[in-house]
Amino acid sequence: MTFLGAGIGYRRSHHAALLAGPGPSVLEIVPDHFFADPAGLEELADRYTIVFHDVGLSIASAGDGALVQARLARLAPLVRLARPVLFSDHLALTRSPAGIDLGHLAPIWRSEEQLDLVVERVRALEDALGVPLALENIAAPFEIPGGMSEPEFFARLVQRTGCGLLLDATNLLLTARNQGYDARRRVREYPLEAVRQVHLAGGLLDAEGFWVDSHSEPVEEESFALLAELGRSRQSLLSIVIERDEQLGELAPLVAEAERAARLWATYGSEARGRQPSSASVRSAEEAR
Amino acid sequence: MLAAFQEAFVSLAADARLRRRFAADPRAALLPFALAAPERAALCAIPVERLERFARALVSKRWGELARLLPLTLRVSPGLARRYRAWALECPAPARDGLLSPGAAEGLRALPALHASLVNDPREACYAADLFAFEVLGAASRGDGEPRGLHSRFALVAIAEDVRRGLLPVDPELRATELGFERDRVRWRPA
Repeated sequence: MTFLGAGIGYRRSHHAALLAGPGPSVLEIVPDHFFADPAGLEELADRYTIVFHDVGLSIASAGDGALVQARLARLAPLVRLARPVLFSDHLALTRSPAGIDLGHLAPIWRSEEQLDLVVERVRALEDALGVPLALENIAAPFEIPGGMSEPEFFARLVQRTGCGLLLDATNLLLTARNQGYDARRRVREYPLEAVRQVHLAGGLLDAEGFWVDSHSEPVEEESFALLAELGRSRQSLLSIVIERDEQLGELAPLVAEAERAARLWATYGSEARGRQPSSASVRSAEEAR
Repeated sequence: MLAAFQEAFVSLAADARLRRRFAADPRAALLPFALAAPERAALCAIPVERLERFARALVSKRWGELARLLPLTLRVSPGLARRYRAWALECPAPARDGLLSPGAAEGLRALPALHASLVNDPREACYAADLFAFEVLGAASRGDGEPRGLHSRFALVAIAEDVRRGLLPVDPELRATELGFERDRVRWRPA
């Protein structure tokens, strides 16, 4: 596969600036923005390589799937319109089988039964949408004990379905800090040869000493540094996307952050497999270019 | 069964009353769910304080999405966040499918409870509840194009314009108004 470049998550306040350009190489779109305004999506799709990023499928939820079917009926026309090169959602649940909505991503219990369900869902979604699917690791508030590790779950999911992994490096980093393990060591346990996309964002430490994926800050050096661990993703990675929701500001600084990620990937992806960079070596990599 | 496990887990995250029972007696709290022993053990092993933090974070995210739609109401009623959180922690949301943004959908869900709460609080501005409804219904109709209506005792459009300019009316005259919200405009006339 060809690396398409680095990009940003679409936010409505940047719409006019994106149309005026210059924008990023890749634009990641949450389809909900355009359910009521498909024309707005079409004009973006004419200018940018699009990846879709969903937060509403609740792919791990058991149940009759009626809400998934209703959502697919909304998604399908947008997929036809924008022709995204990738469709992603999260390895998570956002609602219960009987219909309680959490409004955000909750961790799953990584049991065999859960794996079977996600395998079934991935196959059905790829068939329904006709787009390669990737699932993202979330910033986990805690582990539900007694299941597989997340890397093992992803590895077995990839093995059974061939789906991709959207590796959120910042989620991994913040979860590692909150749960007390080494993110650089941990990331190597994932099926990195299946990573289709990487997310980078900035989190913050809350008043209780817990790291939150707030998408409110510039990307930390430690998140950038995790790119150096993804040598096994050289053949699979399509894009790197910077996520920012709070303190959004202008488009240009975000595009600059994306371009920086692309430069780092050009260095690490081709030359630096197996390195364990510090913040200083991230800067060295950039200076070397 | 996976479904029973997820129902119990999501209920714990969404329902403060169930979490209080869970904190006091986990096994008793989980009795209504048909859980196998390993599922019950997995849920009981989740630290209660982590679960509580997660629940609060979920409500904060919902509030963040709703608060973006309420710039005027929040000037008039800065305590609305506390009022919302107290309500949302006790009231799990039903899953939905629709065109509305999460914030607008949450606003419609919270509207009856928070409107009543604001109306019944003499410390709040007399028009705060209607201004909240004005912003929620306006955002919802802008989002999905569905027409919505509101009857107010006040000239809400003028009040909204004052608040937008930084003026908080202290004792606005009663002027009953019928408002109609559409995708691209708000219409109003004296009632």
